Amino acid sequence: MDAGECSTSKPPQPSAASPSSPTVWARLVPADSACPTVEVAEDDSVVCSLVAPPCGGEEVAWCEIRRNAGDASSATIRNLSSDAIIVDGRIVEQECVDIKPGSEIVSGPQKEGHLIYTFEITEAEDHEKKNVKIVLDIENAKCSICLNLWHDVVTVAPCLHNFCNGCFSEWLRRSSSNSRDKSQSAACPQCRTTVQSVGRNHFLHNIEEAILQAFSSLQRSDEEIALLESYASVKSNMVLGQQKNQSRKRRFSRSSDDTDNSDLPCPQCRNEFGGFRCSPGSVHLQCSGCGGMMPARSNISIPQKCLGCDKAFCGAYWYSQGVSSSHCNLICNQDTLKSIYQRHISALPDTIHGGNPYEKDITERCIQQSGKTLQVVISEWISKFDNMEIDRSRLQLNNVDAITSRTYICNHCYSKFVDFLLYWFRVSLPQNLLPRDAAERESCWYGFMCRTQHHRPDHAKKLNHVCRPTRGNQP
Amino acid sequence: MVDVSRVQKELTECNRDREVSGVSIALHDGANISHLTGTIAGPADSPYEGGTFVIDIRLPGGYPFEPPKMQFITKVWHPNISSQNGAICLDILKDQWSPALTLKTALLSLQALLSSPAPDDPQDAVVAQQMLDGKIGYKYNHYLRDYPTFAATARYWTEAFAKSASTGMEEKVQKLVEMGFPEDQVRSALKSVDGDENMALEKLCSGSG
Repeated sequence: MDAGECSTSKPPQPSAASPSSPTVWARLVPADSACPTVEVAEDDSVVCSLVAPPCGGEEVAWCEIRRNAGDASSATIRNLSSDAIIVDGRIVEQECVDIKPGSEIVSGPQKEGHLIYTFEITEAEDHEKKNVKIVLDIENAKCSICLNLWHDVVTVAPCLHNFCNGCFSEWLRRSSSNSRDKSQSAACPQCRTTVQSVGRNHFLHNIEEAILQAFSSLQRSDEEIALLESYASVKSNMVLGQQKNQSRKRRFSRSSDDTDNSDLPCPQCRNEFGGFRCSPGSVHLQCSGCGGMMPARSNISIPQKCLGCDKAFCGAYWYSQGVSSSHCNLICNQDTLKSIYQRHISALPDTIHGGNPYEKDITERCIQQSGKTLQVVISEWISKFDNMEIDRSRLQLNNVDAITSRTYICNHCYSKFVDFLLYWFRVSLPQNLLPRDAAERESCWYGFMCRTQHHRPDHAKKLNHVCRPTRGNQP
Repeated sequence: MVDVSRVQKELTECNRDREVSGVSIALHDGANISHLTGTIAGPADSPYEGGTFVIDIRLPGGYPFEPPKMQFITKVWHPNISSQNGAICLDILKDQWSPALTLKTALLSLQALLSSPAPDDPQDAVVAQQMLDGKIGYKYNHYLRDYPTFAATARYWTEAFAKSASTGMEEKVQKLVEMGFPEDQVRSALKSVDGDENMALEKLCSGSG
């Protein structure tokens, strides 16, 4: 228990009380009316007053008086002096005992030679407290997981639903262990919004405690509380679903050229490159790869955005402007935005065929069996794509109809493009060219749309998923 | 360890308005709280109207963080429910479960499923059922291609299995006896009207008048 700072008590002023003074809730009235009355305030529990009869003597800190929580008509007194005191006729050493209005308190080990006080609670002063009574349906203060009053309530963002810390933590633990990449992730139990962060809600915690004071029957058993607290894992605000590969933020290093635009991270705001320098107020694009800025320019031949996802990438632009990372800038590699025909591929992406490792393996074996390299196979199918020989409706990119082998796309969209080409490579492959174990499989009814293949390895292996769905909503 | 406190609250809440909601839950044998029996009324304007369907409910140790295991005891002709073992294809009883859902909301979802079959349920459940019940594909095609015949079959199964005369017979006898009619007359009247309580009541009233 914290001991408060010593402070001089004020002499009694019955006619007026300053609004800015601490709330006085109790008094010690001396038996000797010649001595001053001692006031006890909310945040000033250490009593510093006379203890010996000669008035005008030195004041000392000899006891501490605190209001009892929940009980407006009782308090506790702790003896802070080196000697004993007498409370209601009982000797009290350095300890804490209960007192009530009318209690007689002697500031020393005997009445002779020490001041005698009477403890009083000032009811009138309580009216200065600014309490607002609100109507609250207790059902709205219950956790929707355990259906009981919140315990150590936490709030999830962005939807702001509230749960017991223990209940939500257990759900988070189970959801995370079920998720594919084992990252911390969960849907809100109440509305299924993906939870981005979670933290304790201290305001609701106070409401929780107020309700328990008013309705003690809602108090949980000790075992139940112990169980909940063993589950609870939210200590402070937690951000969930943190990506493994966060965007690399550009580190701006100030050069000797200290101009008015020196705060802007865009290389062309400070220097002229490729015959161009940004003017004040130039519109800039932020690169989705490195987070750096580049001027938005529509009159140049090199694209600044990926046509597959419409996101900005700066690698191709800075390369065309003659800017490299040696110019004290961290910028994307040129490879982050390239045309399809300029790209080279030597290994199948793991995302191929919806991330199904068995189908990826089969495709790998088919390519090996054909005697061609992966690059050759992809080049052949890029030609078919350019010649409009392939149905493009399944290609999950923006601006599908505008894409040719000359189109600039980012690495992520290129993986999708390769996945698309290899789907057609597989479905157009004659049955007798498939490995025996693959040729013998039945096709999954849901085909490439199948969700089960992601969490049931035996299903992913046993049935063919590189096929059109024959059930469900067909695209 | 099942959250006993929550389940008790759920039982109270579910049975409070059973007349309005048409769903109810009881302990299966009173021995432990993790084995329950639910009942749902067949939804109006569906082939299952008028039927009472009994559902076996088992709560895993991780409930409510894991979904309850439910299966129909009453035989029902429905594309998402196995005719042989009562296994149910419903996403909230599998991967779409949330701990804020309750037994009552799950039963209400089953009631809704009877009204509206869900053909797009994930493959694994369908495959699992296919192995147990070769008719699943047949029922689904039946539902899609020849709904009138499907509805007639479903209605017939409802009449045959979900409206059993023996089900609730003792309840009806007790209710009519409490109205003051002699028990032998009550049983005779109920039998003559195939267990229809209202018609039995009319018969008894006209007989005594």
